[in-house]
Amino acid sequence: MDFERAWFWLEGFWISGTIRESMWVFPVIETLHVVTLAMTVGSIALLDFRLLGIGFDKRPVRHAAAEALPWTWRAFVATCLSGFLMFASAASYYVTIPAFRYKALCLLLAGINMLVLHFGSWRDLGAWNDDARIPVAAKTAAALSLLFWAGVVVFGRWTGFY
Amino acid sequence: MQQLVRDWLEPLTTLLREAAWSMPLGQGVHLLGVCLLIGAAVMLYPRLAGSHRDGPPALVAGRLLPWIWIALGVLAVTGFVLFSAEPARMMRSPVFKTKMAMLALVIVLTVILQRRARRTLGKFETGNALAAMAGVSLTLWLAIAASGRLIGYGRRLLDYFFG
Repeated sequence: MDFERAWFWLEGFWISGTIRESMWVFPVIETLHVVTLAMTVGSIALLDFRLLGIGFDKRPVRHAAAEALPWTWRAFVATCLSGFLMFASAASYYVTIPAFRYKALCLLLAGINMLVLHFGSWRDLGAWNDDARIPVAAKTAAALSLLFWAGVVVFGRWTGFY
Repeated sequence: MQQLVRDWLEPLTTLLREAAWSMPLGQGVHLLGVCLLIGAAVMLYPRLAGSHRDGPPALVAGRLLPWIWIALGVLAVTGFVLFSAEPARMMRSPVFKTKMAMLALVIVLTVILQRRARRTLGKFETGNALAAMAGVSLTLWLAIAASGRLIGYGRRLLDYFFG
């Protein structure tokens, strides 16, 4: 598939041009991206810590998830939107940046990891919800989630240095 | 005093400037601290401000406020390292100074809030003072996170908006 044409196509939109050329639009979008990203990753991390038994939350996992996940999803939508806008402003350049590629890979892995957890041990959450002993599969998913999301954050910041 | 600061800080400044990876990595780890803090903050403050879905405010504060202090510790250490890389530039930056002022204010607020939240143990009603403090605190944390990103753009952006 000819991806290159897709990147140029994205860059050709008027909004991509506006973001590229304006002095303040990019910084404002980037700031929104950072703040909403922090909400996304922070809420995910707190749930991961709960699954790993680290921290101060002793409630059943279901409660911890109900507290964190609404923030995760709402903020994630805003993070994706702002991220996509920045990407569209110079798509053909971003795809060549190594840090950006690593970030995309981490994001993909984080997504797969989430799906594995969701359709794996999460399905019989009822069996271990109240239990102090969380299945190894769920703990592994939580540890991987922390790793992949940290990768997304660090490589994301690194992208800005190119 | 200034000489003392220079003697101690300059070797660190040189070290950080010369290693190409140190700034991206340092800022990346700093940003991880921001994530933990903002994540805990958005879950905590609305609960203190009167949305009691997840239990009595004192309990919510008990399990989320420690994360805020831990994140603040990470941020202080990484923040100091980042400051050391370009102390002169930071001391001139109006955005950085505003950020530090807001930080000082929110730390004081957090200490007061923590004490007050403990006293409401078992109660669902926390009162208007606590709710207001929670609202101001969340606003300050978000503004601090945003200003952190904007330090990099500095005066150019300020001049554009206010110049």
